[in-house]
Amino acid sequence: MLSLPETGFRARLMLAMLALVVLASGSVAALLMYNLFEAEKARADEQLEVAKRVATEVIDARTDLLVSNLQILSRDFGLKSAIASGDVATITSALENHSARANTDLAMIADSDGQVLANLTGLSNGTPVPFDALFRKARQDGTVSAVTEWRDQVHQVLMVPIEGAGLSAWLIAGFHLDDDFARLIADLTATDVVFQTTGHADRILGTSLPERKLPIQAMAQSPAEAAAMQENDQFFMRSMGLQGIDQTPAQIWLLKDRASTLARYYGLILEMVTVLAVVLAIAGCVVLVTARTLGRPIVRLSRFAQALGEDRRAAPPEIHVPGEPRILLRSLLTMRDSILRHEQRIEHAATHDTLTGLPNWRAIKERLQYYLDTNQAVSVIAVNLPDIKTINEMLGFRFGDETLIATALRLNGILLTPGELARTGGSQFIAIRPALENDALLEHLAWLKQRIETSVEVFGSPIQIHVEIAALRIPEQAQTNDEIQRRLDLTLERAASAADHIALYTPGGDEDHLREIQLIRDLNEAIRNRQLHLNYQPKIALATGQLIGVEALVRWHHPELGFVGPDEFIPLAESSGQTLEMTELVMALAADDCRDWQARGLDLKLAINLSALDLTNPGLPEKVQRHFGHPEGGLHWLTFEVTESAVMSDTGLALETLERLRALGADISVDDFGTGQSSLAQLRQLPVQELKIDKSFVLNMSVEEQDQLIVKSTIDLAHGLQLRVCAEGIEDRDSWRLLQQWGCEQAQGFYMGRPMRGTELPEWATRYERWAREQGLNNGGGTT
Amino acid sequence: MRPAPRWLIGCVIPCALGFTTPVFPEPLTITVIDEATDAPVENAVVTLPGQGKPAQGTFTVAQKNRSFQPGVLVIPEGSEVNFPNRDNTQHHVYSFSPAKTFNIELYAGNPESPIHFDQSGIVELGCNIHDHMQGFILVTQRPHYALTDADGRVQFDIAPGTDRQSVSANVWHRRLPDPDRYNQQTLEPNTRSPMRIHIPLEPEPEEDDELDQLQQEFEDL
Repeated sequence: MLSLPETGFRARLMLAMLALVVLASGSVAALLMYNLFEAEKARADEQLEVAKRVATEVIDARTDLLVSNLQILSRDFGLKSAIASGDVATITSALENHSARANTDLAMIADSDGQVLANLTGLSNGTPVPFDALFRKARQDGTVSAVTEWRDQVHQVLMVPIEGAGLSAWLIAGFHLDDDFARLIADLTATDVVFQTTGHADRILGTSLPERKLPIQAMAQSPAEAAAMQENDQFFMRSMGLQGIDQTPAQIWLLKDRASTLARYYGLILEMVTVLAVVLAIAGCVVLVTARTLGRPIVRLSRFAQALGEDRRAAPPEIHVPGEPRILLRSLLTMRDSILRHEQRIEHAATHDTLTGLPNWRAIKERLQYYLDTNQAVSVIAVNLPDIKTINEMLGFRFGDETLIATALRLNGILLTPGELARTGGSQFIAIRPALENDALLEHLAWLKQRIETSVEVFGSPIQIHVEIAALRIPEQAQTNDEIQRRLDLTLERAASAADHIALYTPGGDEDHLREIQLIRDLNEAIRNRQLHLNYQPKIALATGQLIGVEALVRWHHPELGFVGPDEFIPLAESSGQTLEMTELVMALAADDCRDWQARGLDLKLAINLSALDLTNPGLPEKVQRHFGHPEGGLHWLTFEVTESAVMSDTGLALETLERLRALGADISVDDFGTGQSSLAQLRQLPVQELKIDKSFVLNMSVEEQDQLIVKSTIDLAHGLQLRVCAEGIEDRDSWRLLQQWGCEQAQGFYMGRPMRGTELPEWATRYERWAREQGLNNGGGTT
Repeated sequence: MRPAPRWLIGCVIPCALGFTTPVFPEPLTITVIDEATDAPVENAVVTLPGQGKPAQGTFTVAQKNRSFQPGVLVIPEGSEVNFPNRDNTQHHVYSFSPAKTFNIELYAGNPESPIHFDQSGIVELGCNIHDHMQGFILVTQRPHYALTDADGRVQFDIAPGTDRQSVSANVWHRRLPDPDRYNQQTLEPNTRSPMRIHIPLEPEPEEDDELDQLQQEFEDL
């Protein structure tokens, strides 16, 4: 559960919730603390205000007490007598006595005019009373009391009249604002008290504070300036002026110790912090539990999703929390199911044929690979329906498809081996059967063929099914899937041409096939690199025995395989579509050779073979002109030889090409006449000037009378059609004579000359001329 | 006294300015008036100078009902005064006045001897154990003196001066701002009578007992 990257979600949730709790409780606490602090301050202010009133009361009360004391003193008859005696020493001693009674700090007696009669302060008697203003007020009001500064000291000075019958004097007494008085007020007001000379923070008259740790700074203010509560780091305080007559010489500071005043506040803060901590801890726990409760299903689901990616059958987690996580789980499961279905569809589509629903080539390949891997011997049977193409063309693809489906069903019904029957191509099925020896296998195939080949009804039409069947055994006859496929295909081709359309694989069949593939591949390179060369077979005029022309024959000497016959590579060139290039090469080479011969005084007609594909190439005439030019009298020395089948296949386009070649002046010759299915009617429409009788009729003509008949009648037919005739394959003098007698115009054959290189031709021509004279070829006609 | 007729005033004033010598009427009546309230003042003492000294005698200031009786006594210089105690409490009569300082310790009945006032002046009397008791003895050398009656009037049978000059009248009342001194008034000769003398007076002290005041102060404390 720990250190998963997904914890970020939970951590964030926790943080957000905790932050909310902290913010809420913090702001409440801050507000509360602020207000509490203000309340405490206000309370201190209030207490100080009360203290101020109490202090005022106390001071007034003390004043009253002092006044009373002094009044009593002033009524003392002894004192009066002493004053009346006028004796200074007596008066002074009486004053000493009485001031000691009243505990005064300052004492003097003045007469009714304000002259000092006696004093304890060192004043000269007879001088005016120092408290002038106070004395004036006293004479007006009687008893007075005021705080007065005198000799750098502040006293509470009281003046009380001494009145007796015929005596009028003043008792003047002063009291210090000392520590004792400060402590008295402090006890009653529950504040600390400082008496201070106004405006002189350092002149402390009296204080209740044990140590003189006084807030000097704040006390520099006068009472007027410090009307409101003052505070510093030690005290809350208020000041009050102690009224003098016309000034305020002293002030009293009432101080509340800050620490003790705020003790309750600090206690509350501590409690609040404790409560806050507990709340936060609880909130943290709640958040943790909630986050885990919320987060765990998410983490589980995410791991489940991850596991699903690797294994669709991963077990879903158990989600106990209702709500979104369950919805998410349901969605994940739905998604998994649909992915599974999708995958199955894809899998099925990948391994099955969509039309028939049978396994496809890929699927059967796996099956075959299994047999190959486990070395189990089985027979592999390929079934092909060659008629599907025809059905598609004639009846439409629906019929073809239905036929295939019907065949698939039938095959399935016959074989009853699901998974071992596949449709592997357009009209091809492959089935895996038990291994059988050749005879048994043939028998099995025949049985199978007979079972399949009953007609099916498609859209109400009966359709006859024909199949070609091929079979091979693995692993005996093929070791890989590629081999199986190739060899079955080859065998099917053989089956197509077999009488019963059944063929078993025979070893070696596919080596030819591989050679063909190699030849097709290499031919292309050979054409481009002019690895082909031409041989020329002489064409002799039968009437004169003279060399009149040559037929260009293309030859290929393969660098690895050696000589490759034209019978082998020309059909390959045709089937692989390389005919056009090859023909062009032939024309180029032949044109070169012709120029050589002309240079050596040899003027020969040239015959070039064209394939059926050449005739469908509309650009052929232009190419002919490019290689052979277009002289004044036309290309009458050129003859193009075409096979019957080539002319007959696409008559329209072929005819047009032939006519354009003819227009160039060239002759057209029908090659291998007699082997194909020539229609004389068509032949008559073609721009043909020559027929070449196939050598198969000529070779044994001297001994086969039937051949003679064919050749003679062909010559007659050609002549009847105004065509000249060229015979191939003349190998003896008898054949020559016969053809000469029958009026055949030209002849080719080993008897006169074999095909040869162009360079050899001039020399050969010279030798032939001598030989022909020796043989009397030129006058053969004359002997009959 | 009838006011002078108009024609007489028209005649007398030019005379007073130079033609006739004004004279004090005889007998001379003086009315003492409080200048603040314009009310006649009772028990004011008025003394006038004159020929000779008044005859010395023996006077009595009794203490009766915790007060001096009479409260104001005018005596010629050199007279003696007895201070008989007629209350059932003792008294301690004294005076610190410079004119006569004396002290009769607590006694009941008659003191052993009268007090001899041999110096003119104002002597204030007090009782040391009864602070509210107050009395005055005015010792004078002047032959003419009298106390005003309820109408503030005093009458002298003799003319105060014979040389027709202005005379100095000493007026005293216990409520004078300074009761230790006389208020001196200069009287011009005038035919009109009575003569009016205005003096400044302290307001009448409230009638509460001084003892009660003390009591009150104790209670306050």
